[in-house]
Amino acid sequence: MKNAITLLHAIASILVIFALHTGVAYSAPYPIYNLHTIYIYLVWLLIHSQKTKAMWLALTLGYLTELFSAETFGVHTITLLISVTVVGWLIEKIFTSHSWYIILIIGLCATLTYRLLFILVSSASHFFKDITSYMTSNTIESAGVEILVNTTGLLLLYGINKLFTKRVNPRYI
Amino acid sequence: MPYPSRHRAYASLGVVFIILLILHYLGAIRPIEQFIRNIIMPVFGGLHTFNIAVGDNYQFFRNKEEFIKNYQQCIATTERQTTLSADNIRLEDENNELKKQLAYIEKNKPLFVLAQVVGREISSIGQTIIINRGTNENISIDEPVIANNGILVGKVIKVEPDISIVRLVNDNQSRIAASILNDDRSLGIVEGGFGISLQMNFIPRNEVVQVGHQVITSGLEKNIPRGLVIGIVASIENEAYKPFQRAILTPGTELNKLTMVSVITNP
Repeated sequence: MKNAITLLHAIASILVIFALHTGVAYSAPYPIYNLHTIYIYLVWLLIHSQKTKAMWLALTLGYLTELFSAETFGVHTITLLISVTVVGWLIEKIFTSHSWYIILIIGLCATLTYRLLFILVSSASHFFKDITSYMTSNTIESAGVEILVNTTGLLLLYGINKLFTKRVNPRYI
Repeated sequence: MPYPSRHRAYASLGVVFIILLILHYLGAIRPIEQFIRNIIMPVFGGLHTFNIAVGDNYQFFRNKEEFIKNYQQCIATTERQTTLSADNIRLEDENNELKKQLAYIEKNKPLFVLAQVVGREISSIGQTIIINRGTNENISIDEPVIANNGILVGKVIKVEPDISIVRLVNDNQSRIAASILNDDRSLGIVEGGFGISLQMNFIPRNEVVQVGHQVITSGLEKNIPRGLVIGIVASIENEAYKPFQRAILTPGTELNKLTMVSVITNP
């Protein structure tokens, strides 16, 4: 029974995060639609020391993204898995305190790592098929906007969490 | 040092991922993938339609004069198009008559597969859309996709049995062989990656290109027939020190508001 509830909870989380990501990507105005909800959630889990859970979610959410992607199958999942591992290591070994500044740096590093890895893995997957050039002004601009929006999203999440766990927590009032 | 249980989790994660990759490329989990797509696609479609419905559908004017000026321009364009449409019908009839007289045999007549745009690719830095037709309807890679009876919107880049992914002409990896409808019928390459506009490069400097000229596919590219409208010249950059001139184009249709398209399956 406990296992069934855990499984249902996991499926529900995956569906909710994927729906949120799709909803933001489709319906939000510019520049908010650049927000990578899935990745922000995974980084949030890493900040809260839930690395294993983040890895499993990266695998399942990456797989769902692959089903509607033009990229070679596996590119999104590999990118998500590697970036979650790298960011997890950074949070565990370097950014150990969780202040505003550190969250800001984590947000910047995490999105930069993800976007660079995506370009690298995608270019590698296209290597024998066609020449892929991601280095156009438009791509760099959208990657820059994505970094800013993701970092702001992460900071906002941090602020809301802090507000509810510290300032308006009934235990401290 | 990580705990042994974490090592075990990573190992099982790696194994699951590799199995998933192998099963996908063997096609063993295709029914499951189609099942998941069938569940998610209506949600994608709904969100896409909602986005178009509530999107930027209004044009704002600074003042009354600007509004009246735009309205008058609109009337003039409509009148011109009505005349052109009548001319077009007359020319079409003439053309059909000439074809008959020449005993013209239409070989490999192109087939059109009508498809609904169910969404755009998420988590991508490119400009791609997802349509609800795939290999089940004989769609294959590199086939042109058109909207509004002949405006090229992109090319098919990935096909699954039930869906296809189309790279739009404004994507940074899109390259289309094109021709301008000017006196010289100038040839060039239309490229994306510049926001909502397109760029036509490699137009010889000595050929006269003007704002308002139409740009069509040149037919020099495999799978793309001649005559599909790409856009209209919005501005020209002709520098003395460059061997070619460049034109900035406005696409023939609003690429972010596509709902129905057709794939030319036998171009």
